[in-house]
Amino acid sequence: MEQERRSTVAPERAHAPHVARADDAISAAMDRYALGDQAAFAIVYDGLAARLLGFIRHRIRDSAVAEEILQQTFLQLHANRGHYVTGLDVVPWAFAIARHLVIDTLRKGDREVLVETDEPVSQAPHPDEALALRQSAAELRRRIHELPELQRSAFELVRLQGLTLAQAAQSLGTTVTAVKLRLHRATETLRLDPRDTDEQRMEPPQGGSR
Amino acid sequence: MSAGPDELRARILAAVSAAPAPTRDQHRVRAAAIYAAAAVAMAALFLLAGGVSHSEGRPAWVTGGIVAGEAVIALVVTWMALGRGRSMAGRALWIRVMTATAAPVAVFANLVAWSGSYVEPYARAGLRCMMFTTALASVMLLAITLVRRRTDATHPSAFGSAVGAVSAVWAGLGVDAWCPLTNPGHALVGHALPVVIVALAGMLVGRRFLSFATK
Repeated sequence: MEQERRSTVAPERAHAPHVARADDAISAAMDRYALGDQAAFAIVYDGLAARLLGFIRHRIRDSAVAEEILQQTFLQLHANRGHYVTGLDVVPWAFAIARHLVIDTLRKGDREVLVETDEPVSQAPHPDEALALRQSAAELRRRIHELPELQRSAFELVRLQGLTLAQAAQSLGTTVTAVKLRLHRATETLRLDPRDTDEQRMEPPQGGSR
Repeated sequence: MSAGPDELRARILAAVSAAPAPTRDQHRVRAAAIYAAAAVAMAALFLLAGGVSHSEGRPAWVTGGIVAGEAVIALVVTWMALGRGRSMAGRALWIRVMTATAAPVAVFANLVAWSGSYVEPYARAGLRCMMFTTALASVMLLAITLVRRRTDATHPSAFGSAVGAVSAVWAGLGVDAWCPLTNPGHALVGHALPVVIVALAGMLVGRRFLSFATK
């Protein structure tokens, strides 16, 4: 049964076998932890912490709050170790918990702000180009934040955090088809040049609709 | 103030070590004890209400057929609502919603299918059956909530609704053995409607108790 479950996930991860192996190692460690092997949780932490923190930081600017949410996520994984079913993927479960906690925190405190990046753009040959890159990156981040929640979650999980479509679907409690659709819509929205959109809005309606 | 990665790791692992959490074996023992206690409580309520002898006016083979049908429905909706499928995050939203909406329809159809196959001993609107189903289902809903408390990270309201429907269908197993009536009006008010009521109550329970807590 366990092999059967794994085999349903493996083909979708074929493009990144090292990621699939890492995720399987996390799940195996979680299984040992569910059975009482205390040391195995460190492996789960090491496999997930950076990815989860990146996901959380994309929505929560305050480092202390983001770290608190990360801690809560791991505490929930720990508290629910008895529920863990052998062979099931831990990664989407962890992201589902983190997302739930992030949304809960935002509802309570309205802490969502645009994340400012500290990424250097020194590779740009010219200061004007560096400025343009920085501005376009900021614009992209702003537009990701403006996406509807369902589209945004799908986009963040798949495009930014590298989850497979199946993992993202599990994390969001929906189907792979729904994730594909949300992803497509999000990508289309982000692809549109806002100036084009404004021009389209300014154009008088074609045809007979009033 | 942001902690360094090592400091953060040490802090979180220390917090995890300090918080007790049952292992899988401990969780299974606890869940079995809770479900056993719920089954005993439901059986006690069933016997206090008169047990199978309350449906004496109906042929035993019809009662057996209805209860067998209800048992199949109960097993299917339990698998749909409580099973995790291929995901630790639980079933997809549409499965949970379908469970909650299909359960009362299935219960109604199972009863009405037997309507007319015998002469009903008396006529009742179905209020007693409704209350009896709701009372038995409350015990089951409490048991499932205790076992699955703070475990859902995707759609806790829908999960709660499906759990409520499951609870009412299991309760219906006893009520179907107790009640000798299967006419459509009675089946609707006394047997299908309480499934809807408990599913709606489960929605509130899900939001409050089945969802992950932040603190």
